[in-house]
Amino acid sequence: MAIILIMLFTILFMWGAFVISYGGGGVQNGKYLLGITLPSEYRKEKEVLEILSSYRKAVHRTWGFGLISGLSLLLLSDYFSILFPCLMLWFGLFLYFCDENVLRYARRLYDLKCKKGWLAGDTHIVRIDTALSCVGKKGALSPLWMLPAWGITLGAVVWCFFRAGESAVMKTLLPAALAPAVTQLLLFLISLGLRNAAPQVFCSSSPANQKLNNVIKRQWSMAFTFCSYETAVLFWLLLWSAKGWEISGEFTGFGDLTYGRLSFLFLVLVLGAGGTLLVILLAFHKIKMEKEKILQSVEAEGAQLYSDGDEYWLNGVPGGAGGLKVTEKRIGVGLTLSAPGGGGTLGKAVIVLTAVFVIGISLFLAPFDFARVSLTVEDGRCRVGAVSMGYSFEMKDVRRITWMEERPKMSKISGYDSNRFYLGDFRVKDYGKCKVYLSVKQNAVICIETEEKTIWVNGESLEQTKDFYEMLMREWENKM
Amino acid sequence: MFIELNTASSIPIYTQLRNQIVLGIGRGELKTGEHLPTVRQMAEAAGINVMTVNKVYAILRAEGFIEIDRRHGAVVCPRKENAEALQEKCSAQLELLIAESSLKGMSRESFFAICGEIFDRQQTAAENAFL
Repeated sequence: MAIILIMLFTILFMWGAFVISYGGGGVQNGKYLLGITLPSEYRKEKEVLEILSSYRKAVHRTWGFGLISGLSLLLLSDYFSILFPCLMLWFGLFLYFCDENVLRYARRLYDLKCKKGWLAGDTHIVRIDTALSCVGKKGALSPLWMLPAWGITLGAVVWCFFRAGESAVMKTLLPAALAPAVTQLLLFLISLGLRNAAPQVFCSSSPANQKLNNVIKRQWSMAFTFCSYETAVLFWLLLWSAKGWEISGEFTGFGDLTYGRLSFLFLVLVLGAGGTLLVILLAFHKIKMEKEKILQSVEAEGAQLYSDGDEYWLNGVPGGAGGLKVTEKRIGVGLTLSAPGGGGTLGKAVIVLTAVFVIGISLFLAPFDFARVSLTVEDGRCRVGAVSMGYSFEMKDVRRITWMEERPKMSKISGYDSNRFYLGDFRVKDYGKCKVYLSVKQNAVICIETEEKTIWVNGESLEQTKDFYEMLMREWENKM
Repeated sequence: MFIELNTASSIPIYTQLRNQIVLGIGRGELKTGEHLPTVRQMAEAAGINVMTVNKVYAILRAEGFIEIDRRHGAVVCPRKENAEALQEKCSAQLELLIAESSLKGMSRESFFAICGEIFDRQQTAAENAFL
């Protein structure tokens, strides 16, 4: 159930992020329609409105199909080795189709613009404001301000690591600690890319260009720095609270938490993801307001607004030293990586490495998803196991074999747990550390207590579990 | 100063960049002592290779329009000593332009009027640049 909830939250969050990120398509920054610069007098032309309407229909279709296909992935929640590649494929395809919609209709609008001669100036022009270029990286908050936040998170990870040996909560949270650390690394890299990005020439007024670039770089870099600290603080808050749960001796697994604590966990997740989204939206809104104000005053002063660059946006920026750039999106909210030919070798390498990683994880996990618990007794020695995990013991060492109608609460220490199987070393309530080989769909379990270990086992069906139990009892009585 | 590069033009980018900077100095948009963007900044702003900008700055330096200071980058510093050496270049470029103008039917007076107007404008700006 917990896995389904996590998957549902992930899918809805990703879908929502795409909708906001690719949303609208209407006038943005006072001049872009569908990402194409179009003077305001042509925006109400019949052909333009038709293209805009077709784009909106296509986008709504993509969003609808994306949501339905995303939610249908939940049906695969029992088979993580299939779910994981399908989820990544869904993510990639959704991203591709959202991108394709934008490009297809933006190209159509650009062709119409060229055909009708609605160009504000020459095409294929790259403008350089020498005074603006000399300013360099000024305006953006240095990404180094993020290092303390990263330090706080790494400190939490180290603290979690050293407590993992003695605490089930910390051991469970340790892999999750990678998420905030990786998020902060990504924020750092985006901030660095934005700071190093070449300034954009908006108009024929150099001071206005400097103000506009300052606003964009400062607001985005401040937003990312805030998000980095927010991630660090929320993660510490989560760890500090989770430490308290263990001290009270109530924790055996997240499924064992009270509603209050589960709500707290959910709140932290929502604050982490939603807070980041909110900060990005606020930064976007502030930049939009400031830009409109500056551009209006520039127009009033009679300076020329440059509206070229559409072809570079459609086809990626020109290659060479400035080939890969972090730039503001012309549709939706946020920043994007503008790259000629879809990122070239680097882009292809990232796609190939991701595919190899996903297929590798999937192949590694596949045997666990389709595992079968086996139990055999030969020459007085019992062997129990599934996939590559197993344990054997002498029947003469068995002290007690118990049939239980209900599986006790347990949490993984090491091994594998999914909606279908619990395999490996688990902490079982009232029994401590045990060897577990259980099919989760089957409630009845057999508890075998030996001098050294306690082993939990069952079959895929009630009949198989009964067969296991009868065989064990027969062999144990023979040895006694 | 605003530099405009046409990426679809048959004129090489480095030639366009060199010409635009010279025109900027001539028009007084770039004053003596004014800094140009560093090679890397210029390359990033134009989306061209660093080596292309390096080549342009080397040409401008050799022609006596800028000086390159290792600490402060490229500085506008036009020198007047090459005037005689330019005569040959001028006559070569003017010959083609005059041939085109006369073939298209432009009169001698119109041609000289345009030349005089541009020369006066550029010279005033150039004198201001040296102040």
